[in-house]
Amino acid sequence: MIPAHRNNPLPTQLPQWQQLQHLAQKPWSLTQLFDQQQDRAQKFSVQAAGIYFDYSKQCLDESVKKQLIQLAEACGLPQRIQSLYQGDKVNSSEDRAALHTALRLPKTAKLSHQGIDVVAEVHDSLDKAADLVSRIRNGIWRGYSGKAITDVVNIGVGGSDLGPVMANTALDEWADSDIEVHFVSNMDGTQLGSLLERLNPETTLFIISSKSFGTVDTLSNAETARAWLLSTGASKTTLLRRHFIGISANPERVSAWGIAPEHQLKLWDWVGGRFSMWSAIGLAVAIRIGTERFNEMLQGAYAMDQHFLHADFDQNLPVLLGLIGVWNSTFLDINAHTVLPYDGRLKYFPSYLTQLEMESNGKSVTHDGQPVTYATCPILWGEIGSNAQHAFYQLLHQGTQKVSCDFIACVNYYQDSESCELKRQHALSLANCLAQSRVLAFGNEALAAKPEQEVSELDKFKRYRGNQPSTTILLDELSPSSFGALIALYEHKVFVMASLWDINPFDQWGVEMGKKVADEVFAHIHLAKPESSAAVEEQATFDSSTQALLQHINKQIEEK
Amino acid sequence: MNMPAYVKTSKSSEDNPCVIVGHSIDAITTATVMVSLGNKVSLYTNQQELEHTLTNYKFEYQQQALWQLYLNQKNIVVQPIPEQATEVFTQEVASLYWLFHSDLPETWCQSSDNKPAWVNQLNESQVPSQTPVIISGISTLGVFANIADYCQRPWVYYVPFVFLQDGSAYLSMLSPKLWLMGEKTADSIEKVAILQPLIAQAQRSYISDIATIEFSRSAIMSMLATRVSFMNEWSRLADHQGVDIQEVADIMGLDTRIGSSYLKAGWGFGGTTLPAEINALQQTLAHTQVDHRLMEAVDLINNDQKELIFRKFWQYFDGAIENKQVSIWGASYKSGSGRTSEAAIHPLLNLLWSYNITTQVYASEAKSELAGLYPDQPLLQFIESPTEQLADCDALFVLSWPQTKRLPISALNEVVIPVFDAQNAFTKAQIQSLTGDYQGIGRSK
Repeated sequence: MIPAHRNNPLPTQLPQWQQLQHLAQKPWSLTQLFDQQQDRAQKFSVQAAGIYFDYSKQCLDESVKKQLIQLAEACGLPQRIQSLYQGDKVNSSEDRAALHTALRLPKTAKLSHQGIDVVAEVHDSLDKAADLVSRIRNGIWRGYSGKAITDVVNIGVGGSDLGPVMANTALDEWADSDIEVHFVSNMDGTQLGSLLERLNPETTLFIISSKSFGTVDTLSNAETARAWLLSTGASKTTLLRRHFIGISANPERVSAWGIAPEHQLKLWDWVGGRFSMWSAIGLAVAIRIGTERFNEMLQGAYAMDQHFLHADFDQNLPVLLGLIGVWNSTFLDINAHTVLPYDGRLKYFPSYLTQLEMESNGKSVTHDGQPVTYATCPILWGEIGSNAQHAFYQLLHQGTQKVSCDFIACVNYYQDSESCELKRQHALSLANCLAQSRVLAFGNEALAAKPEQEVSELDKFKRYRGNQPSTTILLDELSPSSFGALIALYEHKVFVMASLWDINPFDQWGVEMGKKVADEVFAHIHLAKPESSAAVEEQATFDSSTQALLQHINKQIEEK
Repeated sequence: MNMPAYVKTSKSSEDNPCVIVGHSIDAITTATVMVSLGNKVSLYTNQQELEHTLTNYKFEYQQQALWQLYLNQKNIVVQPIPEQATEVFTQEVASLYWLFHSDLPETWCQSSDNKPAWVNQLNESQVPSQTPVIISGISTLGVFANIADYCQRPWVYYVPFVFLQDGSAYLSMLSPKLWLMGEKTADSIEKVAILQPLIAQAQRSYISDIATIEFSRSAIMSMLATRVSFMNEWSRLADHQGVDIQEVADIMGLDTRIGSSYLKAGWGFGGTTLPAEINALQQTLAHTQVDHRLMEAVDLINNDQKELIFRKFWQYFDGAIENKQVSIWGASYKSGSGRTSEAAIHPLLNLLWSYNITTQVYASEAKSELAGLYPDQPLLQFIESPTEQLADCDALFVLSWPQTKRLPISALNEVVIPVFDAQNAFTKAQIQSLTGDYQGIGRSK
């Protein structure tokens, strides 16, 4: 099936695009915008799905908002959303659907894809995962010696790691199991090596998550784990049967590796890795917080899906977030975006977003393969807001770069705690969140002016220019459900931006070549002192820099 | 059937019955014993719970027979426990009040001023101050001393049931091996003349203040639990060293400094008393800064011990245990008892069922309790004879085999299936005579 958007004109040819380019030339001043419009906060804020979304500190007005929405419509966003949800092949370069929204559909929903009942497939997989979760959490799953599992190690990288790590940290207060969950992703073995030193092989279960089951990072860690277990002397059959769960879209490879079919969980090619934490990839999270809480997370995401599908664009959180992102990056030339959660539980949210946004929208050709002539995804990074205040906020306030920001905070926290001190700390964090967005927006004018003071030389160094745009996202509280909604919000934001840029957010060809070149280079690194190294080196045809680096490395290895 | 040991000749108490409040085996035994001592008893109880206790303690033959007899004779009058204690404290003149703490309804225990409501109601009642009030039960340390302090009367006592033995509840109270009694007012024991026969009949007795008796009760029970967990930990080392822990226990018992009781390695301790004591102690310690690693270890070892036999079974079959069929001999926490509270049977059954293993259980005394607990479990079958369908089984578990009953060794040798003995019920000679494999706790063939 050819996606409807293939026949659309290039976005730059659209009058709305040109109108936005014209509007972008205005000297946008947040101070003036607020001075001119007393009810700006009310006009540029939306509430939905337990989220208060304030974009009044963005450099835009009603005319920009109107043009952005018209551009979205002209780019076929409504049709594209329909295509996404109904399983059209929106991943054009790989000729696949991107049905992550199907992963959170309730059992009663109906969706067929290529003749397959997707909802039934998803729920079969979730039910199988729930059964494994129950067996592990209830001490039924046993290691080779018959002892219950105490530690679960999730081996995966990228989408098989960042999502579960983030969710596990964010929802830790709902963890009601004594089972410790660990995450290993590094190819170099640093994480796994130190972990294996303190784990007991009798009671450790490994989850090997890889969509292709061919990712070298993951398989190298999995092989190290398998060798560690085999060193116990227990039978290989028992070890493979009792200590490994495989999650992949390639069951043949998982079986060939040695994992029993009943301990394999299914992925599908119509779910991208970075959109997959709702599937069996979230198994480690479900083990920690339980299936019920995991399902609440899915329900929260589903609520956001429904909001995205049905809400008018001017009230639609993912649409607005995406349009603002396009406005800043493409029209206002703001090439950096930072995400600043004022909540320690969302510590890994920025890391997760670096993959979600930059791997999705770090593209420079359109769906038709034409080079884009405009800026797409900005460089994204982030940190817990209060920590970032002591790290890179200096640049935000007084540097030369324009940076757009997302402030994220939870209104209610520690409601059930008896500690007044913790409640006070939370209030302090909220105050800092609001204060920083205020100073970034209004600079020195954020503080009440003191006219009698003269400007001193030192004051020049204390000048805050302001006018850094930001959005503030307030969750009523952090719960599995609101967390699910927040992640889905950003997933859809990515889709909205990609739709306006006419790029494919669901492929990642840019990460493939490095893997192939690494295979070539690997053949030239001496694992041990080789007898015929000279012969190998003669065959190498790398650039002089790589040759020199290899020589240095091999020499060091040989001398050890 | 033995007849009651004491029959009071005086008629003075006929109009002044002992008022007992409770439904547990402790309360029922007390009621029976008090009648045997020539008293009338008015038992305020939760009828449903009482029936439950009587059903679960059918193996207490003597106790049950006397209970029925005394009911028929109207020496025990059972009355529903009222919502408020006031009704109990006003309805009649009692020779004493004996309250079983864990049996009291919530409405009796709630209060706004940290004092149980029943204490306030007793204080406000017309019950003469010289009427003794006895409290029994297990709770966190200091609870009963505090309750006694709250009672605005001098003759308040605490009696821990350290003497009660399952299977011989009646006799173990009538002639207690150890009678401990805490008194609010020092040297006031003569105020409860009604209990003098029990004290006189006790092999040993000790009377002190309530806090000391509570503490002693907890220390005694914790020491017993510690000995069991100690032996169970050592049983794992014995497995490793190839030594028979049972023989080691026999040798240790020869040392009079140690003695031989509570040295048997097995699946751990269960029942209602020791686990409740350890739990109450943990709760007490949790509110203190006192380090309590030993008692934590005792509890951890005991919990782990209950599934150790499953792990031996698992290792024997290298984890390939799905869909097997096994026989299990005994289910109660102690041979002779029909109770399975905190017994190894529960974790074992649940683990076996989770691997779709059919379990045929031979447990005459505990059958009704198990059947009530798992009414819809298709993998649970009861057998009337230990050797029934043994040939169809892949393994035999022994959890609770009566000491006085002979093990059917020859029948076992006919089927040659591995034996997993969590009770260490087999003697060394019996183990050697088995043709099949045998694994016990800290011993093997």
